[in-house]
Amino acid sequence: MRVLAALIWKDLIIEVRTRELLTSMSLVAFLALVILSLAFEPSPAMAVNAAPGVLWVTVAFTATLGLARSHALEQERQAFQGLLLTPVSRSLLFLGKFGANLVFVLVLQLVVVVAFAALFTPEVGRRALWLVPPLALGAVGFTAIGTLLGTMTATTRLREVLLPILLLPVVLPVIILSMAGLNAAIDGGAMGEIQRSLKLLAAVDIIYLVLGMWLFEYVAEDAA
Amino acid sequence: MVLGPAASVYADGLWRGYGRQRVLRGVSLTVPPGRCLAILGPNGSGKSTLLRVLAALLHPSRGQLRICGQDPFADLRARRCVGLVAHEPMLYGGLSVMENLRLLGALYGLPHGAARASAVCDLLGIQRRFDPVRGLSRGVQQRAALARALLHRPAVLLLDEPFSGLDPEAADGLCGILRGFRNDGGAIILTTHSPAEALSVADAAAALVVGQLAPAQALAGVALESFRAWYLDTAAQAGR
Repeated sequence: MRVLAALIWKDLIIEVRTRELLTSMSLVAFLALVILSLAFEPSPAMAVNAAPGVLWVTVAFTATLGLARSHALEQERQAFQGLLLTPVSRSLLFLGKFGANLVFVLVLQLVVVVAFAALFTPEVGRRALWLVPPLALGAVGFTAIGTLLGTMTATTRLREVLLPILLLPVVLPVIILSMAGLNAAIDGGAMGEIQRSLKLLAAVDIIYLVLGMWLFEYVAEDAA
Repeated sequence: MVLGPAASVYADGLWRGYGRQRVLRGVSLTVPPGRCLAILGPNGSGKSTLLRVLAALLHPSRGQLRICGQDPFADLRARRCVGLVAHEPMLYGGLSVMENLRLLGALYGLPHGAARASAVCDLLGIQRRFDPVRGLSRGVQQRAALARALLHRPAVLLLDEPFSGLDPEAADGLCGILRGFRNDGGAIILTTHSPAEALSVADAAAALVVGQLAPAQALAGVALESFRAWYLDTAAQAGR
């Protein structure tokens, strides 16, 4: 646990000092929501219906930008190779990077929900607690695969383009399941319906996390 | 003297390539404790790739590697035996030298990581240890990289052109540190372009040309001019 905490602390302390990732991600997300709200000029009812899609489109594209930058920082001064020299298992290195990225994506989701409530309809804000499980579980699956592919593409010349091209199709099941959960939560659907989406989402999260831990060893050597 | 697979570094027939390009072609070497081997070679000869394979950052496509008698790919604990100084410091620019060293101390499982980090910074004379690495000069970053490599008291030190970018005073200081490490029983492999640098710290030298390592030559009592002639001759023969 000490090793995992140290790995997560490293990314968080760098972000607290530079505010590079969260500021840029939040700004891009806010601008995207402003454009969408101006384009649709939605009624409150339409905004509620569109909420899951708008939230995830904004989060997915903005978080992808953040993940690319987060992994580019690992390549500066070949810092990531310094971690690979240590006797820490590659799975633990993956979990450390995943943990820090997850914090960034969760904070981004919070910003996006607040901005959506302000720009579209406050109704979503009133149901914010119900949105937490599908959004948070979605963030886990999204970040697990994002961390794996972010490491894989970090050393490539076209990383900013390559990461979304690889990541978005792979995380589609997570996004679809999370949107189903959000729809049910916003519509005030039956608890069973929400739980079914969340159970499936949790299962996909576990598969993606295990895949990430397993494949990271191979991906990390290419990034070295 | 410990030789064979139980030596500090034992490599037998290492091959490694990138795509179709073969960079290392059957490199074999042995470095016992308390010895320093200099590997000389022109640009693109595979020196950096060889050190990355020896540091277990890259898997060899063929061949056998033992560090202190252990396979570093099969047993992660063997990585505690190795310190690597490469062209880049391998430190996070947004953290200070001390924060980087404390982080790595936790990853190496050092019981008193902060105290050890301070001791290594003192040894290397790193004054600005609490400033972010990205603001430090090339020379201080190089010393910080050496601090990272020495932090966990490795038995083997791998250095990729460690004298590049250092002023003469800093280079002398580095020579002293490397001699001290060797006298304490550590094994060193360093790469360099310069026969003079090799003579200043190494016991033996070998030329790496187009991925093949020529037999090592002992350096005791060898004059710089004759060593330079040997290197040029060996490189020319291997390049044919």
